[in-house]
Amino acid sequence: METRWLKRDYREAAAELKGKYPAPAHIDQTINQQTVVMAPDGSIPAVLLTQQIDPELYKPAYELWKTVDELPTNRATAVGSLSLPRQRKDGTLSERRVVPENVLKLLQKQGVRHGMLGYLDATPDQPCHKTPLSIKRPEMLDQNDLLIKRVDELYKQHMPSLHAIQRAEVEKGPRWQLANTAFTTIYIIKNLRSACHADHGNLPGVMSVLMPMGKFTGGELILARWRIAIAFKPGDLLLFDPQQLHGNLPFEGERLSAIFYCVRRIADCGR
Amino acid sequence: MTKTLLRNPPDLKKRKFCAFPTGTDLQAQAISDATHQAQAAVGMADRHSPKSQTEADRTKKTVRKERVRLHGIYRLPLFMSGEGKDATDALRKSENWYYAEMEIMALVKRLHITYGIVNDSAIHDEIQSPPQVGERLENSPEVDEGDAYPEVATGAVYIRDAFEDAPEHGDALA
Repeated sequence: METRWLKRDYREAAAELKGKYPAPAHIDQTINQQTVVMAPDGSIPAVLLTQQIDPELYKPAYELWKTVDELPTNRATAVGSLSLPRQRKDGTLSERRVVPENVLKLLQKQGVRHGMLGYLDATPDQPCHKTPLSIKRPEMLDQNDLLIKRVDELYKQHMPSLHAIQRAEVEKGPRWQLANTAFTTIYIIKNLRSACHADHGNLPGVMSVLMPMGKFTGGELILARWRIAIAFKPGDLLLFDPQQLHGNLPFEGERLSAIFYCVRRIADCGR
Repeated sequence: MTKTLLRNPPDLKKRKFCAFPTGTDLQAQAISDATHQAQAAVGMADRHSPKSQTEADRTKKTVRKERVRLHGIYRLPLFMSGEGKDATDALRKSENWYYAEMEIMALVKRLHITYGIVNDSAIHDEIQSPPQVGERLENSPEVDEGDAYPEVATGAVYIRDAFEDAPEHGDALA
């Protein structure tokens, strides 16, 4: 395993990229080997594990998960747009803010879809709950039990301390746990080249695990703060902190990403 | 030349400006254009919506008679674990519920003061004329926006009965 030491932190400058698409000019180095990325302060922003997931595990998952069919109406920053008031059919404006309709049409043409599997924590509108997709398509989780366990095992092996923190949090509400792992939720996103965004629904201070699938070229994940690109392919896993600004370079082909994570307020969901 | 560079090392502030030039690939441009179009459309819709009438018209239409809220049940949605709900049910059924309810009310009133919603004297006035438990509530023409269970609030109910009739907070997995 290679260790790549980063020399400089561009946090402030990178903040300006929020909601904008990353470009090759935003990176100084590309990581495509099994690598631990070390920040100047000794923290670990990312770990790339190459060819650790058996095709027998990820291929069936890909076939099932690529059927997700929702449009990312609530992910304005990640799709590089703005959250604007929804226009009703009579032309008036609703108070609800969403990704604009014409942007969604563009994304739809590009084949962008997403879906959530597992459990979500409480919002002002609803208590902790199983996602509608998990209820409607239980096989998406049930038939991928071994894959979820394998991803968890690799997380535990390579980031044991963070895994332990996450595991302890999840065990406060075992009812909301996926396959007895440190994960509560899997976010599936298809064919999205994301603009720079930070995810805040995740448990802070731990990692999310990204597993790419499909047939694609390009689509490197950019961690803007560190000016690095991570080039991954099916079979690889990327452990990273999703609360740092990240986005993708353009890609060609069909790409599906599954992000395994623990929701922020799982401990409040109760047992 | 080399000497000049050494004397003037790259300014970090300038570096900040050129570190992340905006991406201009076709995909980024297409999304950006579509967003600008949507922004313009929303701007137009906003100008033509009833909200864009003159300030006087707006005030005339939106001013409503201030609603007088009557004494009655105030439903306070609290998210609880299953165990918490069971324990709370048991507390409500116990003979100590009367005292527990008084303590909850006192806590809520203290919070009103702590967070500057009301001042001490307002609380004092309220304590002088507390609502009577069991007193019949009047039908309210509107549902309180704060009510979690409007179906209870719209009918005339007795305070004691309302607790029995109120549905559980939805169990997501049920």
